[in-house]
Amino acid sequence: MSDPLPIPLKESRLANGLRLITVVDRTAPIATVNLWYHVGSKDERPGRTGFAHLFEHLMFQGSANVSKAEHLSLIESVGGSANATTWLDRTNYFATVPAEWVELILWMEADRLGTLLAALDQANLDNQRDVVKNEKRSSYDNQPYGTAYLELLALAYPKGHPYHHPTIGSMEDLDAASLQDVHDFFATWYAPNNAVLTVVGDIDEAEIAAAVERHFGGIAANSELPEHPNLALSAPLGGEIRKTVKDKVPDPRLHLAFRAPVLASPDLPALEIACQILAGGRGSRLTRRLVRQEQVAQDAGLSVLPFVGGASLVVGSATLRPGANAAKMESLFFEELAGLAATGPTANEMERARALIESEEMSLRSDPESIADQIGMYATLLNDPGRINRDLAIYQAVDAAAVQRAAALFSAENRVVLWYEPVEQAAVETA
Amino acid sequence: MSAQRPGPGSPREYRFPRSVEHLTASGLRIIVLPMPARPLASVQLLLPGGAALETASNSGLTAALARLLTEGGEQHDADQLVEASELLGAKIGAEAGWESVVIGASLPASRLAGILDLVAEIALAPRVPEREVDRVKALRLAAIEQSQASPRARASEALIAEIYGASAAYSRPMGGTRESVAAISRDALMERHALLLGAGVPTVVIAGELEAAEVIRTVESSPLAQLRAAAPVAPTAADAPSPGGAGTAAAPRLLLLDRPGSVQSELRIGKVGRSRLDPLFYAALIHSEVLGGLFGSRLNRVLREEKGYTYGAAAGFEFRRGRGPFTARTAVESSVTAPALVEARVQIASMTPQPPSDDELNAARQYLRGTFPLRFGSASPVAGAVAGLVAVGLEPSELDRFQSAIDAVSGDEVARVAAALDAETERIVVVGDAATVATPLRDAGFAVEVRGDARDA
Repeated sequence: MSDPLPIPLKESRLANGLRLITVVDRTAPIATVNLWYHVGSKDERPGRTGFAHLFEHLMFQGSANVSKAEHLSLIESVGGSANATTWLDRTNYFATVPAEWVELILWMEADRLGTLLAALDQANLDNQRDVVKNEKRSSYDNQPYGTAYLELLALAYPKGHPYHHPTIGSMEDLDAASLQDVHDFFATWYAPNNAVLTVVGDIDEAEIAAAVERHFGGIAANSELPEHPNLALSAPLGGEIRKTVKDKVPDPRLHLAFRAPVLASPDLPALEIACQILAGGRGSRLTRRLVRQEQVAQDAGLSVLPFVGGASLVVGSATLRPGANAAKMESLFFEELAGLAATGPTANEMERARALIESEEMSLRSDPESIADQIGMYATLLNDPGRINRDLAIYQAVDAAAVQRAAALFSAENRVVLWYEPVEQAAVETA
Repeated sequence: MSAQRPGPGSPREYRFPRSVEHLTASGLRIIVLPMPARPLASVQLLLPGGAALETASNSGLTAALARLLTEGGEQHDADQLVEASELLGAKIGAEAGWESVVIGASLPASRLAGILDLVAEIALAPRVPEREVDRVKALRLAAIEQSQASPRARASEALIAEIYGASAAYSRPMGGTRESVAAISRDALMERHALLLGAGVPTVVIAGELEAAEVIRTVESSPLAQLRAAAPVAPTAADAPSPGGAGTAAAPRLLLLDRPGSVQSELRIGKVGRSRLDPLFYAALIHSEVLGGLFGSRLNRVLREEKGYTYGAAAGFEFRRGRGPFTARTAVESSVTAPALVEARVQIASMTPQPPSDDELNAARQYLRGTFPLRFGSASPVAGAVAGLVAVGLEPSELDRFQSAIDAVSGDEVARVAAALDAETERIVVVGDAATVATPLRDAGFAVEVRGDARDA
């Protein structure tokens, strides 16, 4: 197996604490600007859920020198694209443009970090609150099985834990958000010393460093950046939590969650490979057994949602085939998980997993947006941007015994079992 | 903080990867796109003759065949095939399109020869085991029920059935309908496969960090070279419009699919659109960006940023060899269904009396020009874009002129696209809670026809 070329990271830090990482990649005449803020839905106060994400929307509503809704239009009009996402641990903003426009993006990011509140008014808040409520309706409430993640988080983490409530929040809390809340949130978390700025592409690193100093250098640090909430949690769940949701769904679907090691854990790569062997495509154990051989399921999935504190989650799902027995599907699912924990992966499975990981690493390296986002994640959440260059070796070093050990967490003492059942149908028989 | 916006640095030129072509003695077309520093290569074998050839009674046959291709060939059964491809670092897949079936994989360029053997094996002689035929049919039937439960999919499927006539292939979902899928047999699939090998020029597109002459030699000495060219088989009237009435200007017909308890309404407005081969293709791209593509497009600006009715609103053409659909789409809170639909129609209609301003045209041009290279960072979209052009009968060089063709679009050409669209019959579909939204829609002037669950229809 060939070693991929290392990604040449250059790191520096402004006096106000802003961390800058640049990577020169001249394969295409483009540049991507990626900003990670270490604030997510875990940092929300009770009664103000959904706030980190609502705030992300407000970041596109203009600042002192950018008018309302101009942010995205301006980027599009220079031939770029941009977006942002909010998750439990973080919020990220990213734009990719023809390389000659990279300084405009840096300027816009600095303008909203330095002056957002100058432009933020009640009308903007009300408008984006409506947009976010419609996002919640169209992505969650009005989709079959759309609320499954919300349910899984609420079941896997105890009430009061920062991961218990979903990033999208509740309609009541969104309604309660006031302009003062918005101001406080911004003043608390949106500071250069709580951000990582990554620029990747056809760039001149010295020019980027100078432009970042020019545009971000005058923004004050928040010297009273608060600690993130305590995420401590007992690692296994300590039992099985079971719930059934009646919904407008055509077929019963099983959703699962298991508490798992945190992002920084050296056990996480083996767990990801375990999920690949169990549910990564047509040759995986769950697909072969449930979908192809026994034909009880329409699909089967299993993947890791990594979080920084307390516990990550492994989430799984399988949709019952019409006419099949739900209890049988569930028990076969658990049987496959237990089988991997009992006897570990075969040599063939390990070899296939390694070959696919190598391809994925190559794929990552052909996309500046992915490179920048991965660096931003490792810098923000692990304080280790260089990890991106060790990933392949880390994953290739995972052996069969480690995968088997990782699969031990798929136990009956550590699982959330959530069934979605059609409303009009008689109750589905479960184990 | 500076109020002064930085302007651009010195512009850099982008060139789509050059292609190198070769036609084998048997008529297999080989297109290689060398891409330095892209060690993950992409292989796409295009077999002409896609779902546009289907009739109402065999709809879904092509999609089912595509799924069954990966169930094994002469030497490998399904499990062995997936294992062999994964050992190469590849996930091999096959997908049906309107014009072709494409078998594809991405993998390290150094392992190209291995994947060509597997692609050829399933293209030339797929097993299509009876048991897997039954499974694929059952899963498709279940997927139809799933899509009927999804307001988005249900709205989109109802819309194309409103736009196109019942005989037109484009009126049906590519996966087929309950009736046509239930009727699929192994014999029909094998006949369909024979047609797939005899409906035009098979083409293999390979992109990545590769040397063209060497790739051509590798393909020539692989079993892919057994593929032969045949005379093309043309679909008949895949894009024939629906003859159904559309109501009157004062009372446009609206199909309301009831979804009791829905907290949002899915809105769709559709018309017969334009072919990829249309000379106004580039003008139509600009038209779509201005109306419903850009974040600052007329639809999104008004429905999302001004009114807060929706998370997003979009409109555009879907380009195929025939005239694919033009659709405008959004999802809005139930209580604003009628005003949102009225507003969406106002914005669509505005494109003729208020032709795009210079700012709108420039934003659309710049966006399409600038994001063009963003799409082609890796080998897979490069090979896919070339395969897509070949499928509709265009040359790979079409991509070389994309940016200049976009620059050359005039406001007058965009106006012609808008005027032609005005002349097409408008079709409107809403999926929502009829008890909440039917009356406001009637009050707003629509001739509403309410339909219940598709299973009762």
